Amino acid sequence: MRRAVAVAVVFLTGCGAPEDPAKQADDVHSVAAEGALLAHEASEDSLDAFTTEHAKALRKLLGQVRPAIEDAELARRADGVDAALAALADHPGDRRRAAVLERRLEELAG
Amino acid sequence: MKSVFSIALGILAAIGGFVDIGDIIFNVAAGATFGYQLLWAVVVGVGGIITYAEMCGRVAAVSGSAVFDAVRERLGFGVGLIALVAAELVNLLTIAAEIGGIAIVLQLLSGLPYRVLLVLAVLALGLVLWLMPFEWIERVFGYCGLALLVFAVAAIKLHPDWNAVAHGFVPSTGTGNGWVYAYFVVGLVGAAMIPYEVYFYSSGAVEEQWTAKDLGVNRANVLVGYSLGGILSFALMISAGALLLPQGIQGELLGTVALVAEAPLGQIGLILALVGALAAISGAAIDSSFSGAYSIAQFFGWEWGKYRHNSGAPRFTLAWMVMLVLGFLIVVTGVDPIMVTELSVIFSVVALPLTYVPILLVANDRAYMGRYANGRFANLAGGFYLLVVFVIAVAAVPLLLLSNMGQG
Repeated sequence: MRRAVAVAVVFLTGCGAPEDPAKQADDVHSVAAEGALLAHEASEDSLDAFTTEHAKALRKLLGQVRPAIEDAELARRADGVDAALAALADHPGDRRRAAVLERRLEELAG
Repeated sequence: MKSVFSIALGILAAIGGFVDIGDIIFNVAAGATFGYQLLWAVVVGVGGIITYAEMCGRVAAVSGSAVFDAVRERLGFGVGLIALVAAELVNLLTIAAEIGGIAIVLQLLSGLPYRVLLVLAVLALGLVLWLMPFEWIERVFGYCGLALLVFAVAAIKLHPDWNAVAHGFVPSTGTGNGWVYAYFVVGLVGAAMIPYEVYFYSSGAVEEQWTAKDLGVNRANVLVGYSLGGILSFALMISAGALLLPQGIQGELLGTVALVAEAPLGQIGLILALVGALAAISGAAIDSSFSGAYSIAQFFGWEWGKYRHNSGAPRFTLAWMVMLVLGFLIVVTGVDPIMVTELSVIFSVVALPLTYVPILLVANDRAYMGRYANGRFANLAGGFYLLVVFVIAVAAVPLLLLSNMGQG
């Protein structure tokens, strides 16, 4: 059922992993920049559940783009963003680590 | 105090109907993509819903008939049945999206598993619908949804370029991808005028046993409630335009919406945003579940109404239960509630004329409405918005495809 709905939606809208490299770069940048914002808030005292769950949601979003990326540099950046978000999700209450991850994600956002 | 409570119906309809998951997502995504350029589209949508909600509230107060009575009477059984099926399909998608939205917000607050929260959400909604009197449903969800006003504070604290904000209220063709821009125009106007709002509003007026003496309350409801909904939409779009657009953040998630309030206001902003969203989305889930049951009961002439208690209108009660369960079954498949939201808004746009044409016809009928029939201004506004509704109904699906669902 889930697959049928997804197939129907993809058929109807043409959605799926974007194949345009410029769109892929925009998507990776968007997730990295949002991750940096999330990490910034975590470094200043946010809700742990929110930090964890939103970081996971951002990783899921990135996971939809990542398989279609062929450019090596962009793929490296995407993997870096994913690793930083995973660390943020695993340690939502560690403010010092969050500040480090914020800077890392800002670098990856470019 | 009584007058404050008496406009609760409009506030619930606005918070739970106007500002639902569809509006939250479309407004934030529009702000993140086009900044303040699409504020005018919200004005168009708010004007439309005020025009038609006032009409159907007036019809309900004068005649004691809700919208689907009029649909059946004016369109006949065959076309009326098409309108009913279209309305119920869109309602189902909407309920599914709202249940999914509730689970996402609860997950952001608690960290519990999404599927567990889906079950908890649908059970809680069922209990509220079963146990809580209509007026308390209005008050609890309407007033808790006012926590969303945190976005108005966030918008101010984010120091947007107010000159650019002012320009956003002037209709324009926009910059950037034209198909995506047009898709957002249709989505914003359609989300504002989504049919279940008027089904719920007119049925609520009958529930509250309005008469011609309540026409002032009707006007106050639509003006205060939907204007408030409009202000919340502006606030969401302005906040997103000020925070997300400059950083190239696309704003596709409910968590992003909460982050928009947290960035300028800290943890209290985050909590208010999540609580407000939870109330608004829950209110919308209740609105749309009731709307589905109202429509089918009114069409087939069953006993209906929360005021009759559950056992006094058994088929009506069964209908909202079935709507809730079907909505749950759709979203529990794992389909993305945000995608379901966007599809429900776009498909509801296609069905808009089937809702609004009969309302205009009945509100104009002097034999039916007597001296309370539409005046010149109501007809002018009603005619203009009918034209808008037809244009966006024709454009909705092609734009969905051409804009790649707003992704460009």
